[in-house]
Formats: sequence, structure tokens, C-alpha cells
Amino acid sequence: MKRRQFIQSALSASLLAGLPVTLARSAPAPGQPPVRLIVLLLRGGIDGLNVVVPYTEADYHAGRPTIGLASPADRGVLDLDGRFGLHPALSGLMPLWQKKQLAFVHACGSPDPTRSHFDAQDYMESGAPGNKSVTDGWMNRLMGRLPEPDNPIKAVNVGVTLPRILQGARPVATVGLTPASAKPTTIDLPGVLESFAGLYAEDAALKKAYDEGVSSHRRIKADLDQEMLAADKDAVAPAGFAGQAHELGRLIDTDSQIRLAFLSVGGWDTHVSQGAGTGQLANKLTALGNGLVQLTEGLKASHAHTVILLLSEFGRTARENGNGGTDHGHGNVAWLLGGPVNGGRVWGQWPGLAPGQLHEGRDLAVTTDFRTVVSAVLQQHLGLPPATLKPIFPGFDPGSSLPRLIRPA
Amino acid sequence: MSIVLHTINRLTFGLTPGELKRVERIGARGFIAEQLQPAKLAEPTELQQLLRGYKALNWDPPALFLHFGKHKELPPGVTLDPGATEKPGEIRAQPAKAKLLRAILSPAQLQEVMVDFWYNHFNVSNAKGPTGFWVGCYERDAIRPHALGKFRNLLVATAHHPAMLHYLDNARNTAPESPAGRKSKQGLNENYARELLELHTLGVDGGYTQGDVRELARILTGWGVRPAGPGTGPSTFFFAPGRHDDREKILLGVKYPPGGESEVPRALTQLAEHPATAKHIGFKLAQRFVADQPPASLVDKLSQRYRETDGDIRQILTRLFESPEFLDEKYRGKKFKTPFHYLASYHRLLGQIPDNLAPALVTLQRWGMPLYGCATPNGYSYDEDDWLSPAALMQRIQFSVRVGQFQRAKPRSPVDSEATPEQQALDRIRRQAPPSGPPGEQVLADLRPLLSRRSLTALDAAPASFRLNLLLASPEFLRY
Repeated sequence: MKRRQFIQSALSASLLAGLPVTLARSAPAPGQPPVRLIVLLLRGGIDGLNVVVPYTEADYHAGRPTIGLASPADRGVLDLDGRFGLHPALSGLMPLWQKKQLAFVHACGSPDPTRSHFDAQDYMESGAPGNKSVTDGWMNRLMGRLPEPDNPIKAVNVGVTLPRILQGARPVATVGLTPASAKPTTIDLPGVLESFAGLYAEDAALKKAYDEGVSSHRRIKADLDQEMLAADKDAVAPAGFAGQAHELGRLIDTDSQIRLAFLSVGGWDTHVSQGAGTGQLANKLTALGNGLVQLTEGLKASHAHTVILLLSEFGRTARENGNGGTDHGHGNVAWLLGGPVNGGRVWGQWPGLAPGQLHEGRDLAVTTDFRTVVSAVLQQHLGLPPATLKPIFPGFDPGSSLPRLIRPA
Repeated sequence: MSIVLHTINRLTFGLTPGELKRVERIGARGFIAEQLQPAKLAEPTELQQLLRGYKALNWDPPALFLHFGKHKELPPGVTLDPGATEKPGEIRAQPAKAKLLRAILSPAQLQEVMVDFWYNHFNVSNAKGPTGFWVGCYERDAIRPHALGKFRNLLVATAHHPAMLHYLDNARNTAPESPAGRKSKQGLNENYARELLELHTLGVDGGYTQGDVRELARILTGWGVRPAGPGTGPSTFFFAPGRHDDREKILLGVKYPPGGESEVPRALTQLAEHPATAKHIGFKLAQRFVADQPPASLVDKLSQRYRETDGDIRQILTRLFESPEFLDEKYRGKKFKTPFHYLASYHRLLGQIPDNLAPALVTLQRWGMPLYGCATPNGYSYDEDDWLSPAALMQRIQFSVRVGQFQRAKPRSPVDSEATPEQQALDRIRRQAPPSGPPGEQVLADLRPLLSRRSLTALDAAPASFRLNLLLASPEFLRY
């Protein structure tokens, strides 16, 4: 079934049944800073066991003779809680850990056993593992459950193409966030963009894209202009992901109507020579860590009301493969950053790495469904009542006792 | 939309001036028959000449690596070609330039469409190490010769090419118990085995298990590449018996007694003949040529044709193009062009090649589709859901306003004998293009039948100088 048909039929079904559309408890009171959620998908299956390392486990070191990271005593990982340690390339995040604004949920993932990148990412984005008939994304469905009316920049996607997680009936702003994004072009000349409007009236998909594109184009242009006026003249935007992350932070801080944002970083599929404390994975983690620090700095005061959630479609094999790399696995680690996070703690139930404890004898098991983590953030941070979660994660019951991942206000 | 226009739309990278009249003359069937025999459709001489100058398309993997890759020392007795003055970045750009020019200029359009299709099916990315130098010869040797041939030959050719073996890491895949495995402590690498099943043959729902991935990875141990000589890098196909798993395997229920190098060809045949592969390929072809959600009746017909003809792509396409589903009016003009398709069709419609190739390639990068740069092994999609976004539409509108009143007038320069050979060849190609009058007047007149009543109303309401811009962003031109 096509996405739009699905949404339409779902919508008309609920109208016919006279079901009430439940919204969040209340909109933030005027003057109160808005709460925000940024989701970052690490595409390719990051090796979570080398990000948040169970350094006290003998099986960890036995299974990873060349890529394993030593304990803090041997100047390997940075100690988190006496049991887990952070990859040293992420040392830039330790101040956040110390401020209790960084948390992890280990052995987290999808209940679906697929080791296909593409299926696993689709499931994580649709929010319906194993169910290919749900083709819109959970962040798009979430937009409809937030108390504010839809607006062109309620959700911002960094990139060009719209990822599944944001696909669906509601408008999403897509922004490149490159230095060129703010420059006026021919279509910003008076009347130019308007003259295209008449073309799309009979093509629903193009009309939707045009309407959303025009409003978000104008809004973001205005935000970036404003933001650039306010920016320090000496500040040089960092290149690459760090630059985009910084710009995103600034944009969110500038425009209070942005509630959700999504971006992704690829290149985690380390089948060969991933390295240990240094090397391929370490280099990528350094760039990721820098980007997260830049994002945090760009958010400025809004950081106090923003949660940044990092997910990856699956983890990698507990033991290294024959080439100093790791193959597609199962359980992984989820990351949470931001002012509201109940941090300084590695959450989740640790299943262990002994042969009998591994999923299918080879991978970290999943003890926390990623939807439990997202549900906790939606309830505790965005204030969604439990009943509204059902349509966001169809067929999923997070249970009554969610981990307290967000500090009580 | 007429059958003729629909057929041109689906079999090519877009209409060129005069093509509609020509195909109306020979008929849609005549056009299909012509396109299914690309050997008779020679590329323009000037293009052939230009492509002959691209080393990335004409050299072999060892020479490319030796001249442009990173290596410590030259093998004894080997001297470098003093003519190889290109920078590595230029070698990496050549396949993309060639692909864009062929899509715009080649009369064998269906062949280019199918080369693009199979390249995406068996994707390797130029972002991964030496594969960056090899995508051109990979396409030349493993994809292009078989684009309308037997699927099995594509599977076998890609499985032997160093670009694929390097990209999906099978060059490293070693049985841990083998002599080489024990010595170097190397072991299994499942990457290629998994994608062979998931992407290249059976498809993700094709009924294999993690156990089958493992068994196929064992079959593939030792199937790799080796340096053609010291310092030349891993660049020629090579089966290393010392890394191979010599025990029995069971792939999808079929026993493989120890057979060394013969196991992989046997496995590729087993996979090519599997009914799930026939269905997977039938589905993808129906998706490319008919609809993002293709009718099951058509997928059935195509997979049946696959099984009847041992995966003969020309026969499967013949069945596809004559099917009632392909001709069905409800599917015409509904597919959304990928960025590459849009860019190529834009230049085809205007009868021009880009002023400069490098910025055109940067445009595709900004549109999310760097040529040969899809990092993941699933290749680029042909689905609307993956390409139509508000930002993408804004970018295409922005691109459409680059012609006509917004275009700076550029006098047609004579071929400059001081320019690089590439520049001279491009100038010669430009001089072959029909001289254009006021931008697009003729094009506009030719294309009125293509447009819906709605678009015509919008066009006629706009100033004459702006009509071509509107056409280039009209639903009928964004779609195909």
C-alpha cells in the first residue's frame, strides 16, 4: 500500500469510528521555553561494544584480541561507572557525563532479528519492526501528537532527501545547512517562486512538496539571516558534520517553532580493520563527538530543554571477525544527551557476553526495545500521555514502568 | 499521454528535440526493437573520441592502481606511462563525466538505462579506497557487456571483479582453520555473502537464513584479489586455496562437497536459478519500468519469463514492454525522475551538454546522488518516496530557472587548439548540437502535446520568456 493511501485510510477510519484525537496534555505555557527532540541515526550499524565498553567482562577482551579496548587502569577506555567505559575518542563528551547530561542505554535495539542494514533502518524509522506495511515514519506520526498546530518548520530534516523516519502526511522542512543555504538565489526574486504554483494543483504529491518547500524555504532563509546577523563576526563555522551540527543547533535556538529535528551520520559498517583506541572507528567517533559538542554549543540556552537521541540500526558481532573488524550483529547502545537527560548513568539490563548469553551465540542480546527508550523520552520529555504512544508505535506496549531517562522537571 | 511518448519516457533518459516525430514514424514497437539491439546504435564519433581519452574507462585495475593509487614502491621492471599526468581526483571524476555524457548523447538509450540499473543493483562505491579508481573498468567489464544479456553473466562477472571483491571485503574472507587463517589469524567476513543473497540474488525476503549467509561466506573463502606484482595493490582476481574452507557446506539445502575454486561458480549458478531470484529481478524491473508498487501480475510474468529463458534480460524486457501493465494508461507519466535522470533529461530536452562537467557533477552531489558515490551496497533507488521531498522540488525549480532570461549569453566559441583534449572534444560535441533560436521556442512548440491542460494553462498565463522555465519544472517533466 502506498504511504499516502495508508495515511488516508487510517485517518478516515478513525474519523468514521468517531475516535477522539488525543493530544498531549497541554501546550507549553506562553513564555515557557519549548522542549525539543533531536534524533540522530548512525547508519551502518555502529559497534556499540566499542563505544560504551563493558571493560570488566573477560569475554569482551577474549572475543576482541586486536580491536578490544583496555580498562581505564591500562589507559584504555574512559571510566563511566566502574563497569563500562567510553571510547577515548569521545573524551569531548566527558564533561557532559560529569554534568549528568549524558546517558546510555546498553543492550538496546530492535526485536526484529534482521541483519540487513536496509530492513533494520527501515524498521527503526517506521517504528514498526517486522511490519513492512507501515511505511510512514514515527517522527512524522509524532508531529501530529504534539500540542502545537502543524507549521512548516515544526520538524526539520538535515539533508536533501526525506528519510523514512520523517515521511508521512505532515510537512517537514528539509535544509542543507551548508554555507550556501543562506545565500539568496533566482527563486528568491519577487514573484519567481509563485509563478510555479499553478503547475502542481492536480498532482497531490508535488503540490504538497511545493507548498511545504516554499514555506520552509522562506522561513529558514529568514531564520538564517537573523541568526547570521546575531552571530559573532569572528566565529568560523567548523567544516563537515560539526559545521552542520553547529548550524542546526543555532537554527533551533533561533526559531522557537522547531520542535523536532533529524539528521544521520553514515559510515559505521566496519567489517575490516576498525582499529581499537586509534584507527578507523576512533577517527569517526572523534568527528561524531566533535559534532555533538558543536550541536550542544550551537543550541546555547536551548540545550537546557533539548534531548538528543542517537540510535543505530543494529550492533555488531561481540567477537571480532577475521579481518580486525566486526560483522552485522544485534543489540547496541543508545545515547541520550541534553539538559533534561537523567545522565551520568548507563541504563538497561546488561545481558553479558558469555557464549550462552549471546543472541544466536554471536551478538549482544537486546534487553531494551529501542521503542521503550523513545517512549520514555516522548512521555517524560515531550509530555505525551501514554495513550498517544500507541499510534506512534503501532502494536507496541512499552509497559507501565518506563526507565526514568529524563529528570523530573 | 500517447504510447509513443510513454515508451520514449520509460526507455530513455528523456526526450530530445525531434525524437517524438521520429518515433511516431517508426512506431513504439519499432523503437523498442531498435533499443533492444544497442550494437547497431553507435555513439557519436566525437563522444567516442572523448571517452577514449578517459584512462579510468580504458585501463585495467593494476595500471590504474599503479599510476594513481597510493603505493610505496614500483615493482621491479615496471615503468610508469609518462602520459599519465592526470591527478587522482580527475581519474575518479572520469566515469561520472562519461556516464552523464552518454546519458545525454548516446542513441543506445535503453542500454544506458540498463547499465545504470544493473550498476545500482550490483553497486560499488567510489568512496572506498582503490574502488574509486576502478568503477569505470568495473562498469565496462562486469556490467555493460551483460546489460541486456544473461543475469547469470552479470552475477559471475561482478563476482570476479576486484572492485566488488574489495568493496564488499571478500578479498579478506579467510577460513580461520586454513593455513593462511592460522598464520595470519584472519577469519570469515560475511559482508559479500550477505549482500549476494539479500541484494544481488534472492532478495531480503527470499527465504535464506543467517546459517545460509555463513555457509555462503565459507564457500567464498579464498575468493579474492592479489597484487599483480609487488607494489601494484590488490588488483587482479585470484582464488587462494590456502585461505579456503575445505570442509563440506550446505547452502539452501544443497550439499557442497569440498570443491575448492569450483564451489563459487556452482553457488552462483544455484543462486541465479533460484525462483526467489527470478521474482526479485522481475520485481525490480517492473518497479523501474512500470510503477513503484508494480502490479503482482506483471512481476509474475517477468519472473516466469526469467525462469523460461535462464534469466535472459532482453527476453524479460521484451515481455515487459509488450505487457498490458506496461501499456496501462494509469501508470503513464507517474514515475518520479531521480536527480540523475532529471539532469540528463534536462540537457537532452535542451539539446545541450552542460557548459562544464565538473559543476554538473557537484549539482548531483548536492541533490543527494553523486554518480558512482552511493556508499551503501543497495545502490540508488528509483522510487518516488526516496527522491521527492520539498527540498528536492525547490532545487529542481531553482535549476529550471537557469535557462532563458536568467541565462547569460555565451557565444559559441571555435574549437580552441590550445585547450585540453577533453575541452576540445567537448567543444566539438557542442558544435554538433543544432543551433538553437530564441531559447526553447521550438522545444516549447514540440512539447505542447506532452503537457497536461493544467500545465498548459499555467504556461500560457506566464510571460513568454518564462514558459520554458515552467516546463522544466512541470509535473510532466519531473515525472516520466
